[in-house]
Order: sequence, then structure tokens, then C-alpha cells
Amino acid sequence: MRHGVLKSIIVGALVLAAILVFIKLFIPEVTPAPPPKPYSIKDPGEMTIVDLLMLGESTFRGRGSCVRCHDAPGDRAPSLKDILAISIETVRSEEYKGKATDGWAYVLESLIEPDAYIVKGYGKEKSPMPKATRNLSDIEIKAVIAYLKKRSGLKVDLSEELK
Amino acid sequence: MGMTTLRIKKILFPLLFTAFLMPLLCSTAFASEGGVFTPRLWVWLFAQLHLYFAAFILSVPVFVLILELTGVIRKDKRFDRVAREFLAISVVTHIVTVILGVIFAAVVFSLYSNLSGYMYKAFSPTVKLYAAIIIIDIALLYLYYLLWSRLGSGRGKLLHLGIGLLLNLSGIAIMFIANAWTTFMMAPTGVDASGVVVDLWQAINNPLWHPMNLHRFVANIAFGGAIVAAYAAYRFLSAAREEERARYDWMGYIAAVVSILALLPLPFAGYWLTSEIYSYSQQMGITLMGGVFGWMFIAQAAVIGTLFLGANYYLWCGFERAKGGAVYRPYVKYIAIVLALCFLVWFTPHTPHLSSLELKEIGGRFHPLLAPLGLMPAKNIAVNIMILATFVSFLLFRRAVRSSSVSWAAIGKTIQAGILSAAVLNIIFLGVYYGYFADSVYKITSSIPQVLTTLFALISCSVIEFFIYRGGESVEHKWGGASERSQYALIVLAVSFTWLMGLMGFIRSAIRQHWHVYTVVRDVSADAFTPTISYAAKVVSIITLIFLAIIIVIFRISHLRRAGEDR
Repeated sequence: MRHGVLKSIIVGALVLAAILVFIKLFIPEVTPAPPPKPYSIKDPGEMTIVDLLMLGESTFRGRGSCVRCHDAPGDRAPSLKDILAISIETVRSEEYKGKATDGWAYVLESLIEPDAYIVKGYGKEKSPMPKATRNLSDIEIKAVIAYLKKRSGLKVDLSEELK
Repeated sequence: MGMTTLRIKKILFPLLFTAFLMPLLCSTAFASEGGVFTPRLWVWLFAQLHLYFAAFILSVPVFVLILELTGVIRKDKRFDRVAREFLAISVVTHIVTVILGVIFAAVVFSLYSNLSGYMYKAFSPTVKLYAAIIIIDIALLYLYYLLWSRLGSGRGKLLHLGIGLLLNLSGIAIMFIANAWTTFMMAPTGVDASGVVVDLWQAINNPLWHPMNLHRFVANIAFGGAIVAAYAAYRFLSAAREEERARYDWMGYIAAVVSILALLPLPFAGYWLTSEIYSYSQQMGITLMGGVFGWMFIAQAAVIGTLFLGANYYLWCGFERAKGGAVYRPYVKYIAIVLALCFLVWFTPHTPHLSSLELKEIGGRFHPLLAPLGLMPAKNIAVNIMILATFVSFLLFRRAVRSSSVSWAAIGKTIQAGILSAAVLNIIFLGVYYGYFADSVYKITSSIPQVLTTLFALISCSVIEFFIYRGGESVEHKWGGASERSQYALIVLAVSFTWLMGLMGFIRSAIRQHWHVYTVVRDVSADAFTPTISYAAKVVSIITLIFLAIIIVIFRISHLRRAGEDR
């Protein structure tokens, strides 16, 4: 029964070693993305259409966190791959209970009022999607819609988008 | 002189051991991730060390008070003596905690002055209150410890219990205040558009405050119990005399039971905290469970699995204490199989990292058979069943040293078996049906009836167990007869718990990513990036080693002081 300290230390060290070996062997070495660079948004009056679309894409992929759920593993949110057709189809459907009258108004409504209409299979009374107004500015929301339009193959007009 | 040299050797050994292991743990990864001595590393080191000790000193008085009260009710001096010994460890640890707290504050104020300035400005009334309560807490602790013998009986004992209660209340108040600061950094509320705190109460009472209060309170008890159990194990392994072995076998048993009982509801408290994180910011929630941190949860699952296996192993070894325990030994293999299966489910990843060849062979990003096991519904089923299996081990462990005198004992046990079987079936049904065949929103909400099912089974079976064995006699068993293996299980429990706390603390803090205060105060330092898993694992391992080395030194000091008192 001697060497109690030694025995305790050896057992403890073996546990730590086992944990580290497990991590080394079974956990992939993923390098997390670097933090996004702080940026300032240009005044809408000084923006070009390229600026607006770039802001839209960076918000969609970065600050807005849209891609964390839409078209991401886990089927957490509806796909946005064919957003043009889906949004028009949704507004025309009898099940639609929101206030939008066309496809892009529906996309805007989903961003600022996600509970207005919940796509079947993605929530019951409340949408799991947070309101975009919570962490995005008005210009960023408009930029995201402009980017989605461009991605769908539509022509995007600056003055129209900034209305 | 020779004795002194031996004592110094025993104290220095763990320190030298740590010094030897540290360079082994440090590799080039440190250099590529900002170097060894970055401001973040210093803050991380002292914050985590302070937190370990704080968790320990806040938890020990909780079960010291429970043990003292149990001793009074049962008129059993053993509880009183073991409670006092627990407290003696806590007294020495208090000093270390205060020193580490001061160093931590100095490091944060000097290396992150903007953040500390912002936090101090926002929370200055609570900082002053925090300091005042710490002084009261220390005074109460010394009163509680020093007056133990003087207030040992009659009304004096009641007064002593009252001091113990006040000590616990002050400890809880300290934890609540610190939790308010920590959770505000994750979920800032009561701030205006420019980030200035305009409503202090709202900032304190943020959505994560109470989930964190509950989670830390329960986790602290489990952690404190595990550390004290490891202390008892070490004393048991070092004991030269039979009576000493008996004493530390019993002490280890009490501490392990406290730790295991706190471990059982801990996943539920963690689940509440996580769901509140999701509710506050889905982005933060997905960062937590879906991104790089998802892989840390696989590491976490493996360590929690080790904890459950270690706890169960200790309970199974306890069957050997009494002759009656042999009856329950055949059940061990079934419980072990259930635990192993649940363990495997729990650490199955949803999206494995695959090479292009593997992707081609599997036919996609997800494994056709194993992918469903990577989702939360499967893991919820696994954790609930693991809790119930551990509870069964605990029931059998108690039954090994007790006999029942009631005539309906067999019926009661059948009812318990029925409740547990029905609970398992219900947990599986809820998880499979609502997790895979219903609207996706039910994936999360179905966990609530699962938890309620588990809680119902735990409470109802405990009540039946209480009545079956009420008035029954203890079966003849021998304290001090525990195997060395069972004591190693207690050390495994303590080390795993310490490491796990370090990892989870890192994850909780790191999901703020490049924000000191989420969306309010940005971290603009060079250390704003999220480190890799191996870097985090190494840092956590080093901090665990340092903590354990200090705690071994404290144990030695308590041991030597106790030996001096005994002489």
C-alpha cells in the first residue's frame, strides 16, 4: 500500500495521455476560419452596383450567417438554390398566409418577419430563423436580396434595389 | 531530518513531474498559433485555474453541510468527522483560490484593459458587492471550521449548521455574480445601440444567467465530489494501517456517491443552457454544435463516456464489499453492454472528415448507416439511457450492503423494473419518431419529454427503493476492503472531470469567436482567431496538470497537518 502518491499520479497521467491520443487519432485537425475583417459600409449614395452585390455576397456568406443553415448539412432550413422559382411558387400557393404579393417581396418578408409564413417541415408556430433586422442594417438586407437576384440570373438595377 | 526530506520529495515530485510533462505537451502547434506566451494564453491559464479552485471551494461546503446535517439526524459521528476533513481541504484551497483570483484580475486588467474597463464600468456596483461577499465568505469559512469542536453539540450544533448555511449562501451569491459577468459577455442585454449598459439588472438577468447558475452549481458539486473522492483514493492507496484504509474507503464512497448523484442531472442542465444559447442566437448555437466546435463535442462525448464508465466501474467494484453483492455481479455485463452501445452512439460524428476516395466509396458526405446516429435525437436517446443504466448500477450498489424487511420487496422491485423498461422504450420511441419522422422543429422539443421520462423513472424508483429498504439492516460488509482498482476508478473520475471542465469552459467561451462581448465589444487583438482542436486540447491538458499538481501539494499539506494533529 505504499507509493500512493506515485500510483495516483501515474493513473492520472495515463488518463490525460489517453485523452490526447484519442484526439490525435480520431479528431480531425480542422483549422477554423480566421475572424472576418472589420469593414465599413459605404454610404448608399456613393455605392455602385458592384459594391452593393459584393456587400450582399459577404453578408450572405459571412455576417448574415445565411449559409450556416440554408443549403448546409443537417437540413436546418429550406434550400435557396432555386429561390426565384420557389418564392414565386410559394406566394401563389393557397397555403401561403403572408402579406407579400410577389416572390422577392416574400424573400424580404422572410428576412424581416420570418414568422409570417413558415415553410412546411421547418417549424410550427415560430420559425427557427432569427429576424435579419436583429444584426443586419437596412442596406445589408437590401444587398442580400440584390445578390440573390443576381445569383438567380436576373438583371439588378442599383436605384431599384436601394428604393 | 530524514522525514522532512521525504516530505519535501513527496511535495516536489508532482511539480517536477508537471515540469517534465509540459514541454512534451507543447509542440510546434504553439508557435504556429501565436507562440507560447500570448496574452490569451495567460488569461486562459489563470481564468481556468481560478475557476477550478473556485468550483472546488464552492462545492465542498455544500456537501459538508449535508454530511454534518446527516450526522446530526443519524447521530453518527463518522459523518461529522468526514465532513470536517473535507472542510479542512477546502480551507487550504481557499487561500490558493484567492491568490489565483488576484493574479487573474491583474492579468486581465493589464493585458485586456479595454475589455476590463468596459466590464468594470458596466458592472461596478456588482464588483464591489462581489469583493464584499468574498470577505464575508472567508470569515464564515474560518468561523465554520474553527468553531467545529466548540459548537459540537446541542444548540451550539444548530448555530454551527446555521453558519454552514450562511457560508453556502455567500458562496452561491459569489458564483451568481461571476456568472452574470460571464453570461453577459455571451448574451448581452440591457445595452443601447452603442453598446453601453443602460439597464444593469437586465444585463445581469440575461437569458443565459440562470441556465449557467444551475449548470455550474450542479457541475461544481460533481467536480468537488470527484476531487475529494480522488483525495480519499490517494489516502486509501497510501494508508499503512487497517483503520486508515477503512476510513478513506468510506470517505471515498461518500464523495463518489455525491459526485455520481450530481453527474446524473448534469446533462439536463447542460441541455437547458445550450437551448438558451440557441434561443438567444441561433448563429452562436450553430457555431457551438455544427462548426469546428462540433468536433470538440466528439472529444467531450468520449470523456463523458469515460466518466460514466469510471463511475459505473466504481459502483460495480462496490459489490465486492459485502457477501450479498455477488448476486448482482451477473448484471454488470448487461449494464456494461448498454453503456458501451450508448457511448458509441454518443461519439458518432454526423459529418465525418472524408478523403475524396472515401467520399466516393460511401457515396456522399454522410455514412448511409451511421449518419442518423450523428444527430441529436440519437445522442439524446443515448445519454438518457446511460443515465438510467448508471442509476441501475447505483441501486444494485446500495442493495449489495442492505437487506429489506418488507414483505412486498419482490413486487416493488418488479414495479421498478417495469418503470425502467417502459422509460427506456418511451425514450427510444420519442427520439426515433420525433427525431426522424416528424417535423424538424420536434427534433429539439422531443428532448423535453425524454428528460421528463428519465426524471420520472429516477424519482419514482428512488421512492420505491426508499420504502423497500426503510428499516432494513445493513448487511455485514467491511470498509477498507475495497480493491485498488476501484480507487483508480475514482482518480480516473477526477482527472476526466477536470479535463472536461476545462474543455467545456473553452468551448463556451470560444463560441463568442472574435467578440469579447458578443456583437458589442470586438476582440481586435492578434489572438482573436479560434484555435485548432489540438491546440485547445494541449492547453486544457497543461492547465489540468497544473491544477492537479497544486491539488496534490494541497492534499499533502492537509495530510501532513492531519498527521501532526493525530500525533
